[in-house]
Amino acid sequence: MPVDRASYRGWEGTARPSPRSVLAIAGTMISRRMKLKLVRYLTSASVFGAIMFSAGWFLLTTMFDDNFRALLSTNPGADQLLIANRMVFGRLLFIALVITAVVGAPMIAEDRRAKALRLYFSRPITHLEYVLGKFLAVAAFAVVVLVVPLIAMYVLELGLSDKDGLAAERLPTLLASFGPALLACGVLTMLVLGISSLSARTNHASIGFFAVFGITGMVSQILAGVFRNPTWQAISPWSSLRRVTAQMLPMPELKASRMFQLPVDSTWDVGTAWLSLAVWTGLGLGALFWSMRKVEVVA
Amino acid sequence: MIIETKGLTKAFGQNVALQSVSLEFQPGATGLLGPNGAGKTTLLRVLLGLLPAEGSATVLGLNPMRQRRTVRARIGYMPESECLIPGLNAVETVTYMGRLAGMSKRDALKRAHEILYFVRLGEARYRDATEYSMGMQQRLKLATALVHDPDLLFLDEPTNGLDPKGRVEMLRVIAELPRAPYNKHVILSSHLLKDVEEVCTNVAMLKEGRLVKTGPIAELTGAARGEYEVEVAADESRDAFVAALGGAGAEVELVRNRLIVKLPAETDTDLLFAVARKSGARIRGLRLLRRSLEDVFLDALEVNRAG
Repeated sequence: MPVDRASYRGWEGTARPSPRSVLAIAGTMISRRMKLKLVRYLTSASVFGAIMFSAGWFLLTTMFDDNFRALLSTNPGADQLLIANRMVFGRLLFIALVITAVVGAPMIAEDRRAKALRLYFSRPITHLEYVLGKFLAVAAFAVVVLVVPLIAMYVLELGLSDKDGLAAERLPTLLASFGPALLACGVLTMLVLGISSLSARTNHASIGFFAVFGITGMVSQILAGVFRNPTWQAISPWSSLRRVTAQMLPMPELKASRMFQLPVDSTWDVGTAWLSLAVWTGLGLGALFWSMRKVEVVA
Repeated sequence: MIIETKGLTKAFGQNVALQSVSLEFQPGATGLLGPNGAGKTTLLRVLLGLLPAEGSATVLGLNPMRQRRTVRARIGYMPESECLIPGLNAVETVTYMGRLAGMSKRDALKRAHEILYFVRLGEARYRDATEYSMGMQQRLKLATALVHDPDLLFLDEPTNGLDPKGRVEMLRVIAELPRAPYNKHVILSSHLLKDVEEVCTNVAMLKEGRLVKTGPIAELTGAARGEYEVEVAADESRDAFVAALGGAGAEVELVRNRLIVKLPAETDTDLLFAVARKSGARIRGLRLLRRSLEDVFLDALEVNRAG
């Protein structure tokens, strides 16, 4: 039997459209994705990996001061945090690529498969709010992977050093690293959501996302080799992302042992790389708008 | 009146789903009847502002084409198809839907628990919703429609795929909704006449995108028309009884030894007994004459086809 009528309270408020629905979507999607072990492992690995690496790095450079001085002399204008960021960033970028695929590929595909879009749009939310909520959810994971380790490394250096005024001295380095991190979050998120919106199967969306990076990566390398022109690398969003983010970091190139760096080909025009990223982001956005436009005419 | 449409027309390419539908829905529970493909779901989606259409419509005094978000905030919609968000349990699903309707997280969570008990999912509310049986999933969909305490509910084939027990349970819950303290207006879209008959007081019948009949069920089935089947002894007193009834303004017809009497407006069976007493007739049997909703529906389809 239904509940006792006398105990029924109802809701005294008034339902109305609210921009808070964006946060509701983002929050619910984040907590849902956090239930996945792989997502928890990847986010923990990036944050704790960066912390462990930088702790080792700061301690080693302090203990073996001569080696560190040599590194500084080959990288003029660098400081301890800058070099650490530069070493870690490329690896974090790769983890961000994986986590956006794991978190982002099912984001819209799953709703399409479960026909949940009908449920969403029977609520007072717009397509834009729906997309923004999903965007924030995926971007949050990318931010945790790319930005949180940078902050952790900054805090760690302050903790391990007894130098006065280090916080203010290193702050510009930290803030300058946010730009490429946030750019990478935006591009990867938009691209994965665009691909996710095109399919009703999560697997297809994941494969499609990696295929975009894998196939364009291979084709761009082949074309660059055949035509002996590195600018062909701009076909690949991954090469373009690495080229642009490396350029944006306070120290575009790190002169150090290969063990400590992921090499980025900086011989080609960064402007073309920017254009490539704009095109790929536009494609992701276009796919999203196209599939969202079709939602209303689903009978 | 809670909903009014005038000349509502919607086509998907060459396929006309709604053809100049003009109707008025009164407060309470109204059934939207029609065979599959009659345009019931399309009508609900137009009224929700999900589909643009020609003509005009008002829902709770609002224009669903122009004020679609405000309209949706005041409507609870239970879609026909499976549409639950994977990976969420019932509490999370209902809370989420409440928050999307503009409720705070705290209010939505509190209300989710109450409404899940109302639809009899209280004990199973922490289980993954995708593991639910069909009946439980339908009740969860109803809970998502109710969470923000809407004034009006659109229930699209709520008993679809349910076993007899599940169907009875679902109808029992829906039947509660128009009553106090819930006081919801319900539009129940279904192709099952019995469901509509059990829950609704009004009905609108659609066929091939056209409105073929609308009105209170009691009126359409004759329950409110004052028609009775009267059995009296076949003797002289019966003739006097028939004549006296005619004098009192009733219409009388003799069918297979039984009298079919249509009483004048604002009179009841007291008139029958009073006339019988005067004319010396003995009433042996008295039955309110009503047709089933199925008869009304089939007649409406037939008339429409002939027209």
